[in-house]
Amino acid sequence: MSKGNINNNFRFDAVLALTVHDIKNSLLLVMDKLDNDKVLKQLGIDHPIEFKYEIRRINNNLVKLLTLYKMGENQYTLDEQEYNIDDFLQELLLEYHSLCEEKQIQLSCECYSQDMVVLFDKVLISAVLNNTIGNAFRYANKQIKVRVQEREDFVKISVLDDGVGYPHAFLDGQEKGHSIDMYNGATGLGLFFSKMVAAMHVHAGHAGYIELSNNSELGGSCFDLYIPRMNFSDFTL
Amino acid sequence: MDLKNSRVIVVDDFSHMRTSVKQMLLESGVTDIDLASNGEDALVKLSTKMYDIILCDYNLGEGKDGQQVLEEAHYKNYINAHSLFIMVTAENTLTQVLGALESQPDDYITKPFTRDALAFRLNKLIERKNRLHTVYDAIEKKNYIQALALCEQELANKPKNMLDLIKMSGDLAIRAKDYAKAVQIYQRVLTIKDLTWARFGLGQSYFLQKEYKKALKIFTDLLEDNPQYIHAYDWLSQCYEMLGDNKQAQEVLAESINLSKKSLLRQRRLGEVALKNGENEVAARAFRSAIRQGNNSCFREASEYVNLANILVEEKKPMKAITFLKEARKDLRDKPNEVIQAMIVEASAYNEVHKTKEALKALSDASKIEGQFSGRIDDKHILKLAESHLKFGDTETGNALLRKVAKNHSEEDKYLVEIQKKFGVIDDLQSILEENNKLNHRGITLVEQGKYVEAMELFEQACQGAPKNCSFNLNLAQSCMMQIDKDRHNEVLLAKIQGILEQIADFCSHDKRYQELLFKYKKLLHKK
Repeated sequence: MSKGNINNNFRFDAVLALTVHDIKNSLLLVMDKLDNDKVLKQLGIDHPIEFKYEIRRINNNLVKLLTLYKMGENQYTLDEQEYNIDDFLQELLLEYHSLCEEKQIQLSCECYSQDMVVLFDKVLISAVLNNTIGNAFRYANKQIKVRVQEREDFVKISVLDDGVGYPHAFLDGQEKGHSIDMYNGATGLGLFFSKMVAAMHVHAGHAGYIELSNNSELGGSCFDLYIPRMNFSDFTL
Repeated sequence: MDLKNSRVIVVDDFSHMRTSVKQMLLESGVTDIDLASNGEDALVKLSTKMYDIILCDYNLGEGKDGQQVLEEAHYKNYINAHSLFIMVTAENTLTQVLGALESQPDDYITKPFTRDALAFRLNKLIERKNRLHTVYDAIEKKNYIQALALCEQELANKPKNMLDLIKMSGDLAIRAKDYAKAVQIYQRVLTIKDLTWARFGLGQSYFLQKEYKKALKIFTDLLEDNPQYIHAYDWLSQCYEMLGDNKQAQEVLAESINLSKKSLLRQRRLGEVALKNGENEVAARAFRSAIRQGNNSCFREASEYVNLANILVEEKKPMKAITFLKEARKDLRDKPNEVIQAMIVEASAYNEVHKTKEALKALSDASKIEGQFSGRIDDKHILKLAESHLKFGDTETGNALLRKVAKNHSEEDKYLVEIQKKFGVIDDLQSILEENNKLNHRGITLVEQGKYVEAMELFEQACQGAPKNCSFNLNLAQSCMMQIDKDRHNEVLLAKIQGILEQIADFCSHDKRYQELLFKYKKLLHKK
């Protein structure tokens, strides 16, 4: 590759970063306005929920887009850090509580992990869960449940709803071992992304994965994300 | 600390963003909120008021970016170990690109965020700082040995944030210059999980133990898996340099500069390595960039000015060189160790154009500074200064400076041999050594007689005359320890030992006795 090419790539990266920065600034401003009752009154918006939901979707897609771009350019390296799973989910679900309240959906979180610490790339796992909870929010009637369980070498995070469930094509593709690909549209992309992110988390010969099913205990779809656990409890200095 | 009573500053170049974030904080009950619109503005505000929380956007438009604000604020002690510095980013992969060892933000928060999410995160971070208050207290006092000991105690309780503490311990072991411990910590982490920070830490520890080949392998492998990890390039190039492969060192540096544009340090190092490789053109370009990027930075040093000036003198442009050196005097005025170097080169540049009067003036200015900051000036600069004085025929000043350096050393260390080789045997150099030896013997005899207090007094006095003498300092520390052993626990003495070990770490840390005393000191801390 000639020197000129390298410089072009570099500048392109910088421009991309600046653009994303700018979009994110805009999103934060709009989000802030939508959280402000006074502003909503002035604008005559009675039900900001649609807007709020779409803003989150834009942001989530932006994150996906940027991550996929970096992966394509071989620039993404997994940034695995240690998180307390309770804290992580509590923070993630914060913004959904008000959304669900407005749509009269009951959002509950069951954590059986007893402050378990898990190593993962926060941005990627957040993107996966935001995508899934966002979908649940769209299709649920009255209930969404997020649940954390320990499953041998994995921590299992499940998102359940009482909606109509996944289309059969999704579940079939999964059984045949096909990658869930793009022809299923936006949801297909979300699943493709989730699958990839899960698989990037590897520990002691175990790779993360996802499982989709219908007829969950709430009656609708069930999304299970498995992330390999590791144990530092025997560590001494 | 709690959120409501925290003093907060929000740094963002976008005015709507500043007011938005301020509004969020107000709604969360914070009342003391200041705003800054760019890095320079932020640093001015940070210099006049102590903040508990700094919420700083990474991307601040023209001028300094968030990382530079953090580094300068750290360097100038505008923030301390108890403050929370939170980098606001739009991107998520920055953590790997940024963050030198000493200048990592406490956390990153990604835009966009809501009021609730911000408050939640801030509260969690405050909770963590409060939980580890004693550790941060020790860090603030630069007592890294104690901080590490406290971390170990915490870890023994198997808390939920194990890895957080393990990571901190590795970092503290390096800062305490206990490299063997650091290696051990990182290796144990790596047996459980192949984590980039642990690999990086292990590489650093090997390097600091002078195990350059081992370090080289670690950094090479790390970069193969993770080519964006910019700090690994810096260390890798240093490994090559230490192993004598300057060509490769230069190549690696050039690569890292391609990845990161704002890098005074890297440009300087590129210049220095290119100079060794005889590539003056590359070197001159790098030094010029370094000077440009050093504009208003607290990290500039004499190196870029002096080296560029030397190249210019070599190119028969001494007057141009002098212009840069005059600039250096101004730019480096608050750094005595740096400004002295510039003045010495200024003298030799004047000498090139036969302006002896100006040359002597520059030298006498340098000597004045040396006298003014006695004890703080590096021996190698004093030697250079002595050499220049001798060259201009001022034997008296030259020899006086040499004696000053000699006092800081003992017979067995190679420094004196080098001085003697370079300058010939000065009549009283031998007597200085003998005097040093006598003092040491007298002190050691006192120790053997169990008269520790007297020994302490003797070594203390010896250190005053030769503040950087390893032997005196180590003997002083040892006498203090013997006194503690004899007379039970003593906080004042313990603090004294810590002060000595810290003060001499830079020039004695590779001394075997230093490591032994460090080990003993840690045992004493545990007993407590």
